[in-house]
Formats: sequence, structure tokens, C-alpha cells
Amino acid sequence: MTHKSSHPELLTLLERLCEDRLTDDEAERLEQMVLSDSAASRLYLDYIHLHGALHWDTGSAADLPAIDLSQSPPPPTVSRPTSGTWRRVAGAVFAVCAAVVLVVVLDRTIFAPTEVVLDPQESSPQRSDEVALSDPPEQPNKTDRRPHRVLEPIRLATDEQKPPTQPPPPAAVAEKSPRENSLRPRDPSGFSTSEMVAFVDQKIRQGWTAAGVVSTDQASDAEWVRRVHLDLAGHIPPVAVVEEFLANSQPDKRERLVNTLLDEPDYVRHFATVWTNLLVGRSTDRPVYRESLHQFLRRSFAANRSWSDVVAELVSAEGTPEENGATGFLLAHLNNEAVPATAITARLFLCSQVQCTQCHAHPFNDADQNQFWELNSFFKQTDIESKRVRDRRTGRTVFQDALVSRPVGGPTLYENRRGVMQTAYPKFAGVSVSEEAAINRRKQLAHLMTSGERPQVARAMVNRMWSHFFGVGFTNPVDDMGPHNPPTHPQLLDRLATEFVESGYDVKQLIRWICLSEAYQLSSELRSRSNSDPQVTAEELDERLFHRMPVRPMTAEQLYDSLLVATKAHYVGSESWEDIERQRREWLQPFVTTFDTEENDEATNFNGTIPQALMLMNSELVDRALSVDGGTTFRDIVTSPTSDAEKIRQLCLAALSREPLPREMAAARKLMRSRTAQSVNREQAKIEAFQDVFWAFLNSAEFVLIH
Amino acid sequence: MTTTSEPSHSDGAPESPVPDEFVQLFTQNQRRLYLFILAQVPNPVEAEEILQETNVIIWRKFRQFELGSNFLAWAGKIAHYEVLKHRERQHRDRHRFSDEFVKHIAEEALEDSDQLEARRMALLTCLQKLRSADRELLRHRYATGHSGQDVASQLDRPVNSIYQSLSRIRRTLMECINRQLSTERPA
Repeated sequence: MTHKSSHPELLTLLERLCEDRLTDDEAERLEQMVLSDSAASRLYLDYIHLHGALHWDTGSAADLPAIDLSQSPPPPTVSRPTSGTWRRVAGAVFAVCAAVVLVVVLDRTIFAPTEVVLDPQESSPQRSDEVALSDPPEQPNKTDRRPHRVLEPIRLATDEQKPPTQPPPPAAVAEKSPRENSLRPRDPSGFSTSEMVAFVDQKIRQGWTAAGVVSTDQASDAEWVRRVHLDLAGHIPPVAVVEEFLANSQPDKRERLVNTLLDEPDYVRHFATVWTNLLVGRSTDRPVYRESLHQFLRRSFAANRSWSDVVAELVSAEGTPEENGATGFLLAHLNNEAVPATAITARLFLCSQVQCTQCHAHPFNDADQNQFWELNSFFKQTDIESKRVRDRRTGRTVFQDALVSRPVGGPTLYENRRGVMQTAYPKFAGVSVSEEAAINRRKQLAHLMTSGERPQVARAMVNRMWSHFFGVGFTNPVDDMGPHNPPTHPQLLDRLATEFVESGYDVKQLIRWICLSEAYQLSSELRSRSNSDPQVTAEELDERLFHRMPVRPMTAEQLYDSLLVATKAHYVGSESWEDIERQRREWLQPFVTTFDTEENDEATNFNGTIPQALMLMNSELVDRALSVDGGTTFRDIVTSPTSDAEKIRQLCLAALSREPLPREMAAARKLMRSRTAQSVNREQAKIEAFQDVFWAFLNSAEFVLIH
Repeated sequence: MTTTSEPSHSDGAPESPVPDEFVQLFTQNQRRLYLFILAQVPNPVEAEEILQETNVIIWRKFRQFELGSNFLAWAGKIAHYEVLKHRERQHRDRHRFSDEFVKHIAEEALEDSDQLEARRMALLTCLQKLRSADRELLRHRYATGHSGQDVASQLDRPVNSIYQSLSRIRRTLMECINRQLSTERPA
């Protein structure tokens, strides 16, 4: 090498150049040096190229370039057909169109914040040569164990050399015995929760070590009992439960509580609500069979049905919502040629973003437009039929929507970017399904999605579940998995997915592995730092190391339900369970915005900010919460024959699941004293003061956050 | 049940005879072309814009390229021309460097391009050796396209310390890359 650091001045100028800080004089000086000296010229090029390379290979800091077009694609061989396909597709698309696609690729390559993979040893290069929709990243040592149907995409007619003989597609076999693989309950004795938890801990710790961070302290029992209730039951714990838990000295009380909560109806209701929102949204604008879907999910979570079964049923359901609640999912999304159904199926169950490939090749993974329509083609036979049914309550005949599969065959037609009509045949994860009319395509899809040893459905659920409990998944966003977006903990994700499949898609077991892990026990508070080094490093702020529990806002439902638990406001003018559900939905509606998009998007603009929380807190609900009528928590506490201090303590426990701090206690008592001193009616003044104290607890940031 | 043959629409469309080889050359050389342009501009974002303009021309003219000849030399000419066009559009005051300098660098950079692949591999190795805090800083600076100023405010660090850290990291990487290459091929 000719230059070494022989040009300290030039180096300084180059550094300034790269940070856009070069003055005109300095630019001139730099020119002079470079033009007059070939070594300087080399240094200039090397330095600028380094600058450019860092910019271009954004992901290389993580050793996993998102998509690196410069990287030589694997030599095109018959056994790795996809790269050839990509080129072919690119070749088939008109030149300008390809350029446009590439422009998008460039944008993404350069601007996409690529996550750092925490453990370099864990990072396996995830250049997948298969359909992006389905494939788990290949682990070389596991490749041979992967089921043949996922491993070898069957592709015909794209290559000059056709494979010599075509084995019958496994889907054909599947028609007779659907989902036999997914239902393989495992011998419980061969299975140890603690073993799996230890593995989780080990992998998470490796991430900490690699990043040089120290975990926070373990969360206090009060912090943890509140968190685990919010995450599992969807609301804060009642006072009695908090007090019992704090007083309990059994070493395994956290594990016991997780198991108790998993058996409670509130777990069922919470997860049914979470998944109903994911499946059909919160909006009531479109006709949506929310209730029956919610009921289907409640039954599924209550019976702890295998997740692959639940997914298969949602994808392949037929009939009216009354007959089969699972139909509610697709009934909501069959509009617009089932484009929403296609996109949402991929996003929810596979954590794969395909919606943009509806119109063009995916800008940053290998999915192309044809793949979108190949998936879409599975919904080709699906239709909504108006069916006469007898209303169970009134006995009258009414019409109800029914999801049906019509015996139609052939390809799905779509327009490519040039407006040329194209055809797509049902194909998932490289497996083609017969286009014959007699074959029920959704049944085939349900089977293909949920069979195999490590289907993407399992990885996606693991990622979603992890994000349910930590606020962030192994990928960010949680529903955009693929080679372009490598997970932070690939080995952990793989193992959890494998074991999840092995367990027979046991959702509760998956939850146990996560909730009993060390990371889930940690406090949300940043470790207090010594004065000598007050700076917090970027690693310490990185929530994806899971060395600290991120603070998350409650969902609107969690907040509403927590308010009910804290206040028992619904005991005033008590209603039935259905009434409470209905009231909750009505109360949520102002927070939901429906986008009139092709993908049935919606957003809840409830994001847990304090002003929004205040809005709800000053509602009628809170008025009732602070009522001394009926059986509210407030009434129970203030009318109990205890000291004022004990009452304040109880109010704090009810709202925040913890003991009041000394300064909170002092402030509350001061308020009580000043109010009663000024008042003629001491009892009334006292009640008002207690109301203010309780209202203050409920209005705190601490109340609306999960920590 | 039988497998459907894949429809033959996706290939062999008569109106788009872009040879596979061309597409492959095109994709393989994107990075090189980008670096080639960047050396002449030298602003990463402007370089991207010019690359995109260059790509459009490349696709428009792909028939003029003789398969078997040097793709980068061919595309480099287009790119250099686009750089000059870009400079024409730009106000003269905003020119960092003179025409002479740009021409000189374009020639040098083209000769230099054989090295790029080796340097890229070395860079990957060297990035691995960085401390994770340094990698994280690089990620902040480059992955998001943030300026040093933005990074400083994001991380709540003085901007000068960011500049210093980035300089130090880039120097470390330069030295590491040079070391890597010299050990591979003792001169």
C-alpha cells in the first residue's frame, strides 16, 4: 500500500469532506494534493470508496447487507432456480420498468435502518433463494431436515432445462389427510419448560455480552404482577391479588401466577380481543362479524387449540358466521378481488409484507408480482353468498352472509405494470396446487401454510408473541420478516419456532417460555448510573437487546378494562357482560380511524398519550368510578373502617398495584388536612379529597403505561 | 392431481429481449458504479440520484452494449456523462471540485475499480472487528442517512465528539482494510 498515513493533512480534509464540512479553500487544497500526487489520488479514492461503501452497504455494519445488488448472485444453476427467475422476470419486464423497480431497491438499500445483529456468531447469511413468502432462513445444518415440499420449489417452464421428472406434489396427498403433520401432540415428559427457558436466557444473555450491556435489576413484585396481568389478562390486577402476591413468599410464585392466569377466562378474552383486532380491526364501519369471530377465538384460546389448526381454520372456513365464527375473518376481506385477504393472510400469519407486490416486484425482498397473485389465486374460488337462515332468537327467516367455495378452476388474471394481462396459478412456498375446479384451494393453502417441520406460520407466531410481551419482536416491524430484515436473535427465533412446532403449536407453552424468561422478569427502569459516567450508550437504549423491559402504552382495551378493574365503575347501574362489551366498543370507536384503502387498513389513534388518557378519564366512566353509590372500588375503600392512611394506601394499590411512596402519602395527607380544615361538612370534604387522590392516581402516566 | 405447468408468460415476451447476462452485469455492477460516481461528486445522496439517472440511460441503451466487453467501462462512460450533466444543472457555486479534478478522478477511479471487490471483502472483515459501540455509531450515521449533526442530537452527544468518533472509526477501517489486503497479497 502506497499511502499508509503519510498524508495526515489530506486525511483530515477527507474526513471533513465526508461530513460535508469542507470549506472552499480546503476543497481547493484537497484538489491540489490529489492532482499533484498519485499516492494522494489513491488515498482520496480509497477514502471516498470507504465512505460510499458504508453508505451503500448499510447493513454491512451488521454483517448482513439487506440486499446488495453488487454482490455476485450465486451462479445460476438448475438447482437454484430463483436467481434465474429473478433475472428472467427483470428481463421480461420492460427496461424502464426494471429501472423504476431498481430505484426503489436503491432507496430501500440505502435508507433502510438495518438492525444490528447482536451476536455475530448467530448471524447466518440469510440469502434465501426461495419464495420470500414462506421460507425460514436456511440453517445449513438443518437443511436436510426440512420437509421436501418446502425445500424444493417446483418451478417449470421458467428454465430452459426442465427438471427431468416431476414428483407428484405433496399437496395431492394432503387432500385426503389434511394437517396430519401439524397435529402431533408431544409427549409431555420429553419436554421441559425450564430447559427451554434456560435456552432463551442463554441467547438473550449472549446478546447483552456482545453489545456490552448489563441488564437492569429484576422487576419488583409489584411492577411484575401488574405487567403480567396486563399482558396475559389484559388489565391491571385487582387489589386483593396484588396484596396476596406481595405477601406470598414462595420462590416460584411468578411461575405459579403465570400458570394461574393462563387458566383464567380473562386470558382467553384478552387474546381473543387482540386477535380479533388483528384479523378484522376495531372498526364497525364495514359489516364485520366481530362477535362470532371473537367467540371462535375465545373457544380456540380456551381450549388451547393448536395454533396451526386455528390458522388453518381461519384460512379455510366455510359457512355463515353463525355456523362457523372463523368465517368472520375472510368475510371481512374478500372485497377488491380478495386483495385484502391475500395481503392480510400473509402479514398476520406469515409476518410477510406482500401488499406492495400486488402491483410490482417487491422492492426489497425476492417476492415478485406474480407471487402475490399466486397467493391470491388460492382465494379465487371463494365467494360470499347470501343464505337464508332462521334467526335463533326471533325465529324469523333472515339472510346471512356465507363464505363458500365455488368449483371454478384455472388461473387468476391480473395486469402487470404494462397493462398486459397475466396469469397466476395457485402456488405457495414453491408448491403448485392443481388449478382444477374440483380442488378446494383454500384447504390446500391451509395445509401448505401449516405443514412441515418449521413453517413460517410458527416463526411468525413466535415473533408476534415475543413482541406481545416485549413491545418489540425479533424483527422490526414485527410483521415484516424475510431475508431483507434479519432478526436480532436468529438462533433463538429458530429454536422457539422449532419447539413451538414440536409442542403441537401449544400457544400456552410458548407464552410460558417467554413469561418465565429472565428478560421478562427485568425492571423497566434504566440501571442507575454512577456519576463518573452519566452517559447512556446507544446499546443501553436499544430495546431489542431485551436487557430492560421497554415501557409500552396500554392499548385502548387494556386501559378501559384496567379502569374497570381499578374502579369497578361498571358496578354502578350494573349491566350484563354483553352490555359491558358493547359499552367498551362504543367507547373505543372515537379512537379508531378507518382508511378507505384497498387493503382495509385502519389505525387506532389511541396511542396511550396522556391527553387521550385524560379524555377518557374525564368521561362518564370516571365520574361513575368516583361515585360513592353502588359497589365501586372507591366506595368500598372510603367506607371501610380503617385509617385515612390505609385508605390512601388502598387507593394507590387499586390504581397502580403498588404501595404509595412516602412523598405521595405525605402529599395526600396534606390534601386531606387542608380540605377538612376549611370545610363545614367534614365527612363530605373528606370524600372529595379521597376522590381527588384516586383521580390523581388514575390520571398518572404510570397508570396508562405497561412497565 | 397434477402440478400445473407454470404459465409461460413470464418469459420469452418478444418485446423485451434483455439478455440475462446483461441483467446480471447490471446488478453486479451497481455498487461499483455508485462508488465510481461518488468519487466524482462526492455527496452520497447526489451520487444516488446520478446513479438512478445513469440506470435509466443504461436500460435505454442496452442494445448498444456488446456482451463480452467491459461493462463497467461502458456504463462508466454513461455515468461520467451523467455526472457532467448533473454539474451543468447545478449552480457553479455549488461545485465542490473543478472540471479538471472530476475528469482526473473519473479516469483514476475506473482503473481502480478492479480493487473494489477485494476492498469490499476486507471491509466486511474489518467491520466485524469493530467494537459494537462503533458499529452502532456507523449504523446511526449511514443506515439512516443522518448527518453527524442529526446523530449527535439523537444520541445526545456533542457534535464534535461524533465527528471525532466517525473520523477515528473510518481511519481504523482504512488501516484495517489496507492491512488485510497487504497480508493477502504481499507486495
